[in-house]
Amino acid sequence: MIRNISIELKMILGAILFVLLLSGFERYEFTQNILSQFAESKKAKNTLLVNTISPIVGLNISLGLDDANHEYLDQIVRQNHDLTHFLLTDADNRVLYRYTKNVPPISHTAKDGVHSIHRPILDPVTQERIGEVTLRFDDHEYRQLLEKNHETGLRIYLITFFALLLFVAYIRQEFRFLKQLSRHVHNYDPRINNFSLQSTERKDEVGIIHNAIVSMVDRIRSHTVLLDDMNRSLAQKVEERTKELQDANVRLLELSTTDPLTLLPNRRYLEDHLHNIWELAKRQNVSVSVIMCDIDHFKRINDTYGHIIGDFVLKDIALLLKTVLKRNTDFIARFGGEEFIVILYDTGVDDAKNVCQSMQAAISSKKRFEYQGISLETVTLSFGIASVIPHTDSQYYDLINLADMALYRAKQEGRSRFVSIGN
Amino acid sequence: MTKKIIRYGLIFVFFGYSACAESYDDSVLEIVSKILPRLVLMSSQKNTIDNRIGICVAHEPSDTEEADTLIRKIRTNYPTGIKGYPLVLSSYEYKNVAACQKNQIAFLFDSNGETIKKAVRILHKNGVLSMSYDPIYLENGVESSLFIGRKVTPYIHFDVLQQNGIEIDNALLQISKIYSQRDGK
Repeated sequence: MIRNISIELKMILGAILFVLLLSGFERYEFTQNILSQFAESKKAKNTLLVNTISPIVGLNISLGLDDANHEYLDQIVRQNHDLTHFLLTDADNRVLYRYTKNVPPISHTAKDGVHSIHRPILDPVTQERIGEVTLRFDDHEYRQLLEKNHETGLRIYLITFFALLLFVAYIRQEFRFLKQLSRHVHNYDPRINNFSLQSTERKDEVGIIHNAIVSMVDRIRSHTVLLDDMNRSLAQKVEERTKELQDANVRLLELSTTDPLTLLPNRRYLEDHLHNIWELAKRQNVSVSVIMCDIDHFKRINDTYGHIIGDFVLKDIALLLKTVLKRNTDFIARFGGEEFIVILYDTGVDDAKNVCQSMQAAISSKKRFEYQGISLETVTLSFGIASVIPHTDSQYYDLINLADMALYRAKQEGRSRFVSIGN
Repeated sequence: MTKKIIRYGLIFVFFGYSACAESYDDSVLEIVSKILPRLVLMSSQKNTIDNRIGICVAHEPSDTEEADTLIRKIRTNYPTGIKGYPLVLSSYEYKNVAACQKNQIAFLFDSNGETIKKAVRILHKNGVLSMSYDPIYLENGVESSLFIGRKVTPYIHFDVLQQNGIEIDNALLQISKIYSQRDGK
């Protein structure tokens, strides 16, 4: 029930309660002030009474007018109804006048001047002490007012205390609810979906906030599922795209390093490979041989049968040359046009010559080259061999130049042969 | 016969003396003895004091003993004077009342009205405050006396005091009865 009342209303009620309590305290203070003023006025009145009677009584005593004194004091007692006790003694403590009314004893909280006055009586002429007067006054009204005010004060304190207790208990209860909500929100992890609070029936602001958070968590939960799906789909797509990219890269690498016609490594790849082999041989101090071969009269084939047939010849020759090379370290590439280069690592000129011979044998073993019903005459190749052990100052393209020179000489010497340069 | 003459003679003297002598209440005299010096100090007569307070008692020859009694009482009550002033006490018959002129106050025992009037005139002329035993003399111009009723209180002839320029302390006025001509009548 109380949880359906809005906090705003509760705060207004709290403020009203606070104002009421404040008014109570104010009233208590006001009454206390009135009481103290009452006490002060009573004290003033009593002081005035004593100040009035003292010189007269003093004069009567000093003149020995005992009867006059008695009559005067009787009159004073009659006129002051709150006077409960009057005692007049002379300098030798002999009682000159006594009056006592049967009233309750004065409480211990009695104040001097308000409830009792004790004053010496002086001779008005000589100012000598000639007696003492003691007056006591009824404090019934004052006591009643004081007790009533104390009761009011006690009531206010008790009400305040219990109101405070209730307020503290209510605040603790409200904060426990909010703390629980805060703890859940703090510990909430959308990945493991650990928010276990359900909607509440509360209609106040705390309930509204609670339900708003529960609703928000629900939305986060559904969005998280959606996001997870999207993530998974995205990851799959990224994976696919990566694979495609890798394939494309491989293809691109192949395209950049492979001659599309003969499918042999191209010139760029050849240079990279030769550079590596060169540096390795330099370190290992071993020979590197390069065989540069060229199809004899290839222009005539192109001119006679066309470039398509020329391309078929190039492809076949490349295949034949490749099949001759057995070692893993042996390498063949298309150098350009109808030229091929073979790199042989840790191979001297003699072994290179053997490779050339094997290549010539492979070419000559193919009796005829037939393409689309066209039969070609025998194709021959010229080889230029260069072989060196690389040293510090030498460069790999020097070896190619040497092989080229050797090839040139083979062409000059009548083609279909090999010429070697180097050791 | 001689014895008779002597006896009747003694009776005559006794009654004659008794008839002439006034009777004074001792307690009233006691009060008077206390009030006289204070009346000086509680009135403007204190301004005329010169190191001593002079109190004069005027009486008929028949009251000489009473006057002495009063003086004794004053001495008993104020053996060292009052407020540092010694008391100078004197007693005179009415025929010598002029001798009271240097005193602050004079107490008048009973006498006939004319004598009292005459004495009062002399006293007032010399600025001496007067007080009588019998308040009936207030109508003869005496300034103060004692009112004797259920209680004894000072009795003040305020008009005469004013005429003579004598002021009385407020406290004394409060305990006193104020004389008016109506009372006298």
